[in-house]
Amino acid sequence: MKNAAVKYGAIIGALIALAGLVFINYGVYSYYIDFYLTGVLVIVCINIILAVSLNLINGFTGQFSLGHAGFMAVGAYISALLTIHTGWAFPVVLVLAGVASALIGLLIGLPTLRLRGDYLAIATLGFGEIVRVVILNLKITGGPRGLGGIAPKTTFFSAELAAILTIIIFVNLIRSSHGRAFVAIREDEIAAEAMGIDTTKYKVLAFSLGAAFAGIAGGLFAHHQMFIDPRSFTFQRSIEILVMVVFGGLGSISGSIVAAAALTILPEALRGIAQYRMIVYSALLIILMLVRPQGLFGTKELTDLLGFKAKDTAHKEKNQAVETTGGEG
Amino acid sequence: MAAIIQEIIQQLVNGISLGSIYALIALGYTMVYGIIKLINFAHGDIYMLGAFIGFFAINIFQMSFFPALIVAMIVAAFFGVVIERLAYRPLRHSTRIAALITAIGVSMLIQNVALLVWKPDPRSFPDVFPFKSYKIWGVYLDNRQLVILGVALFLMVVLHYIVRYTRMGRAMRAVALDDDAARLMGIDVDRVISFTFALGSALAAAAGVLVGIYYNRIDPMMGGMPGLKAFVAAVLGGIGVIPGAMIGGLVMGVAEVAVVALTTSTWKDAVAFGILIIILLLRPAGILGQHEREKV
Amino acid sequence: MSLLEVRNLTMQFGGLTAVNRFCLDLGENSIVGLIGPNGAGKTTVFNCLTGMYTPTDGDIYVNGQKVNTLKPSQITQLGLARTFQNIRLFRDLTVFDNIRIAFHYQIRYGLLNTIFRFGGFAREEDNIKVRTDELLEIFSLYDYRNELARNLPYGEQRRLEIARALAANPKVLLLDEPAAGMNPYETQALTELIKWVKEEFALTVFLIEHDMRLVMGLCERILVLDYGITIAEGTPREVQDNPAVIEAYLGEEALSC
Repeated sequence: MKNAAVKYGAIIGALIALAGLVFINYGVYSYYIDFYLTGVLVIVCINIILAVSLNLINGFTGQFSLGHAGFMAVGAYISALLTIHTGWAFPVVLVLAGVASALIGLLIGLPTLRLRGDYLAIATLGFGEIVRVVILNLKITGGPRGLGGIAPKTTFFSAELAAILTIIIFVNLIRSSHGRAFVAIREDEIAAEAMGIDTTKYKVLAFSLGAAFAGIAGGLFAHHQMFIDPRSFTFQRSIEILVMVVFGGLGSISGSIVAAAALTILPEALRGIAQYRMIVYSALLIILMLVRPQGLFGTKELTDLLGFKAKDTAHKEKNQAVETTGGEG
Repeated sequence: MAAIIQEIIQQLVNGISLGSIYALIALGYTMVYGIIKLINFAHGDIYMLGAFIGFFAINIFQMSFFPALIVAMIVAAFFGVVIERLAYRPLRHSTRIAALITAIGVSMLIQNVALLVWKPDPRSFPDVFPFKSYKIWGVYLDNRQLVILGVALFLMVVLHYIVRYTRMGRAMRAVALDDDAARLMGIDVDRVISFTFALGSALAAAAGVLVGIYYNRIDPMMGGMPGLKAFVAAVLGGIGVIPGAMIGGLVMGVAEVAVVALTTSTWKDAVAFGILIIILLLRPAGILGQHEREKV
Repeated sequence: MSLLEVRNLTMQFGGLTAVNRFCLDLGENSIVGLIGPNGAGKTTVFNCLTGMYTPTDGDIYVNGQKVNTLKPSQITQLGLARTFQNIRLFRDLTVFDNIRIAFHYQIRYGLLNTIFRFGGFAREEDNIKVRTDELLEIFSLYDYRNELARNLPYGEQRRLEIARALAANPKVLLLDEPAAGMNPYETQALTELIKWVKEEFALTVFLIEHDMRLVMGLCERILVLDYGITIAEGTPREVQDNPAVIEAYLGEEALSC
């Protein structure tokens, strides 16, 4: 009966998502949604990729990375340089950006993953800052002046496609034994290791996969903005991504998606009162943490929540069945 | 040869001046972490508040340096206590990440309110100590550095006395070791935590005022990088260990000055964090910290 | 060849020798107990055997393979699974998922298969579900299947931990105080369950326990540890009559009886 409820929820969720997609795509391609708003939607897609990939590290695996902007920066610069200097096809460039970020993630992951909790957070924060300062000092990246003239290859379609593929990949990964291995590490690393899960391998894997997709998001970002500089990838940026993940719920992919969309659109909506924008944003963040520290969805998925109604009735039926048998006895 | 030694001593003097400011900020981080295991991200912004309060006390209320310093410390202490009360206390039994995010939120809130009220442009801090430079054995030492070193040293001695020899200090150490046990022994843990925030915030505010007279300029975003570096200093020395924060701050200041002297100033931030990562890998508990083995 | 062989295992923490020249030889389908006063080093022995600690000295062989420096996960994969004295369940996961996770290393599909769901993915997942449900039935936990592990009564949590260890497909099962906190009735039921599981899964069981009724009723052989030193070894009867043991450990109980 629980399975029925889950399926029910999954179908409703899929329908809502599909309807939303059709609606948005219709809007974009019939020009009801203007150029500016389409740009915001591209950023939504990029932020979804960032939030979902960070959620693998922070939410599902229970590690604490504060350096996601660093991985994003690696991807952004690598892809931008590839496009400028080689003229390779965009998808190839994006994949290479992801691979480069993953390698950096591996490099960071191997030594630092012995650290736990706060210490890991600080080490990753330090890493993110180092990436930024290295970019600031290199010639090929343009240093503080930034890197301009990047061909605008990110379209709404490519961003949307990348976001959807990311979601599919992560959902499938999480709903497998490998995904459960990540979650086991979050719940109790020692017990996970005792159950035969190579926790080091999976932590490094989480870091590399998270980094890879942050790199792809960085690539999309670079080819959307057409100009990047180190200021786009500060510690603040890492925090923004982290806030999306926490807001949606650590360990909830649909939560990350909703939060990434909401927290990208909200500041845009507040643009009218631009000077209070960040104040409202940070106040909301504090209030959310005080009222609902587990985030919007906790570790649950939207599909679980949509399935609630069916689950409740299933539960009632079962209780009634128990009462009947009790009566007979 | 003599010139090189002179240069080294000169950089050491500069580094220690900067480092004692980091140390003052780092103390707040380390005390708060020691007592409630929270990285208080808003601490750097308290330091910024302190600088601004000092600025207004001198500029508008025409105070001289020391009264302004004391006012800044008292007002910042009050802010620290209020922040803990409103934002952190309700989350004390929540997950650590929730508390950390809240701290980040508080930091962003303070920064942005300050940006709105005080505008982003830097202000020049009043010139309370007209610049005077002394040359001793070829090493330059100015009166502002002397004030910084003197104030920092004095505050650290006071802090040491409070933590070591007063009832409240003993209570702080007890809560840091085991808050439940401390509560059972009749210690008012909430009061101890408030006091810790007050103490840490006051030290950060002092650092803010000192930076004001050292660099002569303050702005609402000034808390970010020094805040992070002071935290790194706290980790470097062994987080939760008070003398560790002092040592970590000094090491950090000297290292940074050395890097600026040897390369270009744009590398200094990377080196600070590079040191951090190396320390975390070689000795995660920091210079003075004790490594704890997780119980199986 | 013995399943688990330990030669002169020594574990020091700083100046403290927690375990001193511990020896053990476990054959197939046997059941052996490790007893001793609190702080005798029993759990430390377990932690060394399962790779949680790297022993200071001595050798540990699982199926003839030296495992001293292997990681806990590698040792588990060689056929040594354990429970913990202070229950370590995945508290915020369901009872079902707790067990399901322990099948992980037996999975053959790779990362790419999880994304594209080729070939054996569905079959393997179904197989795990079936085997998880079997374990739930055996341990009378099926009614709690979708409950969070943290919400289980204490005795059920202990049983779930054993079930989870079994899912890791061990040849040797290490139980650290499986009856701690159980009432006599539950302990009796647990004793029967361990006996049954041992035969059904053809296991070798090595257990730490303070409950003498369980130990005496279950174990073929008993080792007694005191201050890290093995002070006695033998059948339950031999150990019970050993004066050194009575003095070190059973002393108070013998007197109070």
